[in-house]
Amino acid sequence: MNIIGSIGKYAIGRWRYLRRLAAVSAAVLVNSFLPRSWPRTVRDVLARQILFTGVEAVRFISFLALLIGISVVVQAQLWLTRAGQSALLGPILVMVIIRELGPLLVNFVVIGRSGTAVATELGNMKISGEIDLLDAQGIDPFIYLLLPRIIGMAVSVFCLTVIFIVISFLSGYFSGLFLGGSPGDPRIFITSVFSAIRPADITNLLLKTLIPGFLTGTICALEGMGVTAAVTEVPQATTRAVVRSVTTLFLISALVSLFTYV
Amino acid sequence: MDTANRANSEDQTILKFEEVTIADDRESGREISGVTFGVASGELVLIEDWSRRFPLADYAEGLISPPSGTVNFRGEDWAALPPAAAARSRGRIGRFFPRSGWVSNLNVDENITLGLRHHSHLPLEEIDEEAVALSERLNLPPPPPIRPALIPEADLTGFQLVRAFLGSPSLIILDRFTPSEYNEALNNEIDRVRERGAGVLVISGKGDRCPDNFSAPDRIFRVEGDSFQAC
Repeated sequence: MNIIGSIGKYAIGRWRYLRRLAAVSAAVLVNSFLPRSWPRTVRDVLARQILFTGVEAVRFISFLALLIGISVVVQAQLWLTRAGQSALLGPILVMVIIRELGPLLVNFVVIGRSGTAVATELGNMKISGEIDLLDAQGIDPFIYLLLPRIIGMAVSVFCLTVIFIVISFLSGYFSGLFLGGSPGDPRIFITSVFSAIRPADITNLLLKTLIPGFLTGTICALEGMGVTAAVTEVPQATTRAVVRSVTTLFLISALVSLFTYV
Repeated sequence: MDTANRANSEDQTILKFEEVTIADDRESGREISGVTFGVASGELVLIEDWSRRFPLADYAEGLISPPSGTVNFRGEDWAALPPAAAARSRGRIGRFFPRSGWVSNLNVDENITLGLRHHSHLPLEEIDEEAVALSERLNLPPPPPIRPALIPEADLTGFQLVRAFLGSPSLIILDRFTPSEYNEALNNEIDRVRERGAGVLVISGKGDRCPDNFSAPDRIFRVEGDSFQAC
């Protein structure tokens, strides 16, 4: 096949994939608002997904936030104080942690931790015939397996990001005190941070957590369900899921920043 | 079941294959056409599929559409049902699966009650009590709250029967059921569900002869070579 043909084949393949992704995403969104999509078995799966993706990741996210707080917040405090620009502390922290670092890092953790698990689990279920088993019992695999995992992942990313932001600010403030910096009165610190938060920042936070979390769940679920014949396909599907999720994450992040702040 | 009741129950056909063409799921192009039979309320129909290669249970559940003919469940053509309605109808069928029939990331007790929890609004306690009672009638211990991979295969076979009979299904399909799994407790349970009005479809393979004391089938069919015939 010549180069033009190869490019064309690649483009068509990508288009078909994006179309499938859009179709599944739309189906999840529509069905998530229908009460009949949430029998108690599906609600159980949603709870388990939030437990695994969200609750069980709190400790690691908190640790990460602690470290980020120390490195980012302390640096900002030190240099802004020296430059006599302490008033800019709030806006800079909001810009760095709330707008960019927080959502990105949390999404990375969720992709690595939960996205891989979803792709692997669904891939193995597909190979072992468990999907057919659910179908035979009248349990729609889309409603029982995909819907709660995708919604659970989106909700978890948002909640973990909020936790990340709060802990990074707290750790930064107390690290500054411990290291002899001058973070100032805690009330002034809190006020400067909150006063720097604009409505666009809230919109940015929601979009950069819910959308990538939702798409990560959809991509990983699609890759897992796309496994067909051999168990050796499962790790390949998982790798593809991670790469595509990370690519989508950066794309969404850049687009949301553009639309929110430009 | 006496003759009068059986005559009435034959009008209540639970499963009906009408001029269905069944296709070999492993060898393309191999088909048997004109398969016609029904399972009425309270009936036990035995199909000896000596080739073991026709997915009759999947056709019966509407999971596969036949190349031709119609398969009706409770008077409705599977092919005409929208997906949600078809899923609800499958919730009325209890099935024994020949290969591994367990969701690996659920405990055995969760696996057994999954279908009933999904399709009904019965209290969880009531579902668990029914599962335990059914296990006792089948001479089994209560469904254990551990993963299927940690249970011996022989025990899992018994628990599959608990799942198949749980929740008063309209139709029970025992797919590729082997003789070693027949016992008096199972016979009693089969008789019990037949008295209640459910239909039972047993699909066995070559050599899987029903023991002499097995619940007498109302009709027997055999799939052999390229034919489907009544015995």
